[in-house]
Amino acid sequence: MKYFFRTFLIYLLLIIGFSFIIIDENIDDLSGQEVESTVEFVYEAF
Amino acid sequence: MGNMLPFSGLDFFILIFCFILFLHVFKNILKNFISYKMILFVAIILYISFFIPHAQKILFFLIYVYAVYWIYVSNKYQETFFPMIIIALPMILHKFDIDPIFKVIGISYITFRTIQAIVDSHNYGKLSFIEFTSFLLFPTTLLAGPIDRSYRFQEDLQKGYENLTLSNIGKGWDILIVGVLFKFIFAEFVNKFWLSTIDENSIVLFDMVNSAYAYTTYLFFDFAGYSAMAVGLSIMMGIYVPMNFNHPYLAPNPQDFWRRFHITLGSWLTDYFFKPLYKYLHKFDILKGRRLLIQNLAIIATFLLMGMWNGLTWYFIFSGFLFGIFSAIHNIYVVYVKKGGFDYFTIFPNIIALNLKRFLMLNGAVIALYFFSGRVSI
Repeated sequence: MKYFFRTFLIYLLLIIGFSFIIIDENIDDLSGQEVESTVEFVYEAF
Repeated sequence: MGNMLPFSGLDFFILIFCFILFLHVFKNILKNFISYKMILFVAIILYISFFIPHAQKILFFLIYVYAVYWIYVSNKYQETFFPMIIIALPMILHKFDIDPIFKVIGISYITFRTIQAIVDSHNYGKLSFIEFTSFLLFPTTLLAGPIDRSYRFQEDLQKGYENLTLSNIGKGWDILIVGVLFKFIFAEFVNKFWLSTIDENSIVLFDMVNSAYAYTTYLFFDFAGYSAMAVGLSIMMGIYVPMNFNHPYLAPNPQDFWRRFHITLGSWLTDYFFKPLYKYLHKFDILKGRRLLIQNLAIIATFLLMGMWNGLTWYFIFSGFLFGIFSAIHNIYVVYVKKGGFDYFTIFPNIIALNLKRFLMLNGAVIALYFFSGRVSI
């Protein structure tokens, strides 16, 4: 049981940690920083 | 290429998992026509040749140390001190930044492993070139330890395919994930949200104290994580590399601290530097009958060596000196209590005394590691 909880906690922290790092690295504008978008909005042409 | 250095990126993990999978899946076929030590040797040489920058320097250094080892063994172990100096010379030149030929990755660890192999070959038997190479250049421990022992490594090589079991995969994996959590999550977060937010040039006392605690926390997660990953992956390959950390910041005194923090370095320094030096110092007439002084001199010299081994900068050396002073003070106190002196910790109940000792040790380590970090604004 102790092993199960320990392992569960480790994986939970790993998932939360890596998710945070991935989100943090890829969605900079969520943290309020200005990021120049490279996405072109096609409808603006109309 | 850079991502292929041990634990430096996903590519390294993919490569090593492929190798582990290959070993486990094909072990029953492989064992009919190739020994485990040979397959490991070939894999290591290929890895070093293709993925380690300046591989030719490592291979040249390997031949150099093996030649010294061979001469030493051929002369029936008559002289120990001289071969040690010859082995350590490239590392010393490297530390002094003199000789670019020996700017070899992991040279400090390789040198210590070589010295151990040479000294212990007298008692534990000779290593073949294949075993010697695998021991020195084993990829998971190449850059930053743990510092394994050759006779233990040799045993695992001889067991070979026997150690490639599902149980070892499980054991190794459990240690590996703790290492990944420590190094890539905890150390990363401590660095991002705590350590890197502190101005290391600040001369405000609060910033200096904060920096010391942050670095101590970061160092533990980073290094213990690295070591755990090295141990975990090694066990998955059937090599039981010893653990390097065991709750070091819970140690109540310096002696215990070095049995828990960078354990393999502590035990290496004890066996191959402290003990011979302690024995040697007894020969001086001026020191005869002064056991405590000899012990303390040997302790401080050992920690100074540790500092210099980390690098020839004042902060590494001073950090080693501080650890030496702590250990000497503890040693004097232990002898004082043994001789009937009053143990001041007995004033408190056991649990409080233990935690008080831990508090003192932890803060001593924080001060020494503050200098070790080089983030000193003095």
